[in-house]
Amino acid sequence: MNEIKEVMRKAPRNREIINELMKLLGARKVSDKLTDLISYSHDYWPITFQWFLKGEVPSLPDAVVFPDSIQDLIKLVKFANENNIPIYTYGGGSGVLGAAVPEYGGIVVDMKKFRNIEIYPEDMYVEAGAGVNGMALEMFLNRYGFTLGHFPQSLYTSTVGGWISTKAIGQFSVKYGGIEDMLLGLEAVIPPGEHLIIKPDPRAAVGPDLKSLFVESEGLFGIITKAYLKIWPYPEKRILLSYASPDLEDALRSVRKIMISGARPAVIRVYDKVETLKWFYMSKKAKGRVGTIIVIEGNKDLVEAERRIVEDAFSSSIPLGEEPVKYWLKNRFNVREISDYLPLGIIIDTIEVAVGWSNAINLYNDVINAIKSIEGTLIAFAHASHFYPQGVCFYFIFGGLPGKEKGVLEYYNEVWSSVMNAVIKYNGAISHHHGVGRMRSKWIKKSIGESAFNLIKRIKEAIDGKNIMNRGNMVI
Amino acid sequence: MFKDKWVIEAMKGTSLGTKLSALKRFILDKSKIDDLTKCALCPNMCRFACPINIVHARETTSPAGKSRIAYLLRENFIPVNQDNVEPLYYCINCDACSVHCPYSYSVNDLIKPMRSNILSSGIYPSSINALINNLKESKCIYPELKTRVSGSINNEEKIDVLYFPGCIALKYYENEVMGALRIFEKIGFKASLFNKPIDCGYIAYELGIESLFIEIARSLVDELNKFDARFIVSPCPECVYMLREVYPHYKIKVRAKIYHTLEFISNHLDKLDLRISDEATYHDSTTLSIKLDEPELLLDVLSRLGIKVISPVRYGKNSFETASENSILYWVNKDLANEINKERFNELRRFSSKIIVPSYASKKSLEGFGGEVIEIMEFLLKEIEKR
Repeated sequence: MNEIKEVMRKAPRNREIINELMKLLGARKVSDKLTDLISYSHDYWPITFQWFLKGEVPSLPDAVVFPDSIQDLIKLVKFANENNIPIYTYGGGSGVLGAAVPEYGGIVVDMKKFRNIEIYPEDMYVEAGAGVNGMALEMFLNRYGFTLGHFPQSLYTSTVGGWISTKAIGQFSVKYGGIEDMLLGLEAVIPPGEHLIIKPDPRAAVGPDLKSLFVESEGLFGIITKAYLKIWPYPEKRILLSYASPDLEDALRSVRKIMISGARPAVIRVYDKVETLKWFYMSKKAKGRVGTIIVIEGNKDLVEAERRIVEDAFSSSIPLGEEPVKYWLKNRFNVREISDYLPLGIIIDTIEVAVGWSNAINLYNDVINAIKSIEGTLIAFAHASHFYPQGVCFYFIFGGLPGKEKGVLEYYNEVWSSVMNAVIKYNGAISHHHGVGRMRSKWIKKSIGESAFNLIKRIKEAIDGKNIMNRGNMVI
Repeated sequence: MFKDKWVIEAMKGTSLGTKLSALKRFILDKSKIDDLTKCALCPNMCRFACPINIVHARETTSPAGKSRIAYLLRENFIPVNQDNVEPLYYCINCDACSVHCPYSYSVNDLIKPMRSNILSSGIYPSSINALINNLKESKCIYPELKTRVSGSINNEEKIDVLYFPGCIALKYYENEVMGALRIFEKIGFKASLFNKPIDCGYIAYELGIESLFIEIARSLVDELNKFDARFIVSPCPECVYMLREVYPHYKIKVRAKIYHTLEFISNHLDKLDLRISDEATYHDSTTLSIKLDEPELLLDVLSRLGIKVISPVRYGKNSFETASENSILYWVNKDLANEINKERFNELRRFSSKIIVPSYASKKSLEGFGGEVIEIMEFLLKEIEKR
């Protein structure tokens, strides 16, 4: 019988806390069963699944708790703070950078019992517990004639709290924005054990915007328990368009035109020539070109006006109709790459970054060339899928099969370094929507600058002086 | 055009050694990746549809979570003991996961072989001892099911419909079962009742105890085939699924044609000549909507009757199954089963005080929380009797 090996563990096992936690919350809400410790030892960081196949995990927590009330959380945070025990908050476990890995053991707090949903139709917002599953929320809203407009690829598995903690964004972001644009207010339990309420206002200029503190905080400042999110009427009309452009530069120029016109199609996705072959496989005209798919939706009059703007912007490209968009809509949540390739020893991952228009093409070329030049790389391609008047998000996808001389981890880190360094060179953002976690932590200071990094540290110290919340994350 | 041709283009510029190495793995190793491993490596994309995941709300009993535990047990990374195998029994065998899986996997089917292995070694949660004993001794989920239901059973007589209520209906709904026979007569079919307390073997099958399932199935079919019936009709979707879809795989043959009551009634609804000005919501059984691929049958029947039907949030293939007494979970953790049922009831109750269900198993699961829960045949009978 093999033993479960912990690859990243940084603190000795603490077997004492389980009895205390049971006294505190009741035995039903606490577990130190091996199966639970394993289940909460990781998120969806691809490299860790390579370990999993060998019976290895990043780091086991000492206990897992399943609170279902604010009172539970207040008691828990007080207890952890008094006893200097780290707390790791867990939602759907779909993060891809190891932000939820309990590398110092401690207590993992599963928030999925916080799943109440209440719609306020007159004021056009929804109140959702931090543990509400994304698709469950969207289905609920649709039943009442609304949409959140938030469709990350993790929609079926991620939670509301996780969206805020990682600054998630969805496929329909050009129209509906990222989670930060939807967030009106939130509630959280923060150290040393206080219930924080930031109420939902249409807008408030009453002191610093505290809710923003929790956006992309990755559990550093407290446990988010609830969010108030904007909702929209379910779109009355949807138009599907697609184009083939001669090259990436041309396609991006068309999109920039749309963005600065003020039009906001819900979805714009520009695929490089390689990925175009995947998503436009049914269209011969797309071969050797750059494919773009566009979804315009909402009020029928506005949608028609936006269609004219889009058609004008892409007038020099070949229109390819609805088919490629329908294919994308059908397959957009089809996540199977890790399942298909990881057992073959092929490591696959994605890296999303943001950059201004002026550096977009150079960054794309540099990154693709850098990844391809690394021995072991099989594939490297990208699409641009979130746009702003100021710039673009590139989503790079790579797959590699390192030879015997180079281990998987070494190859993996080499690719990541080459991409991060290219982004820093072009003054881009090293993450657009996946966050920092354990994987990107070594580049955070270089990316945001020392003064900004130090301010985050000071805020962290002020809120969580004992550093119990997600200890080790972002190396703060 | 070949859909995956793009991968070849994507590998342009890759060194020959890497390319050959990848090619070798694609050709030699790809087919060796088993389904359980693939499921274990998935980010749990089906979890939102899984009633256990939603209500129990724990990673370990999430769909991919269970596959990961099964993988670690199978590969000997963790020991087989009662604690470690318990998550594999947290399943209501609804197959909702399969609808949202890119490979159409049923997690229950993936972990069944593991359950089967560990059961044969005698290590399983002590909570299912009673269930296994019942199945072995009584060939039924209940010990010595004593039903007071009696019908005009005459094996010699030629009948159109043999009504096979299933164990839950026989145990709890004897009057309603007798009522269903009147509907068959009303639409012109001579019907008789099968009231022997024999299970269809569904739970034994889902648990992965194949030999016991086959034994139960054979004894049931021996009894069913004694009747000279054209049709066997059952209000239990699980019984229909077993008799119609699963038994043939084991070469266990039922002579009569098998229908769920909804399927049968749907074909003869006009003969009832009913127009009902009522308002109701409904609960789809996932065995009917997913396993038997009839996602709109209940809605269709209710709509054709003129009822103002209010759809819940989750219906058809997206329905949220209850944890009835013929689910594994019910026997492992009754409190959680009850929570799941309450969750579903509350969702349905948002839309109407009247809830129509296609089976007595669903009715039993949704009763006791308030509101009116009524099985489809029972509903029809009440309307007929009102006239």
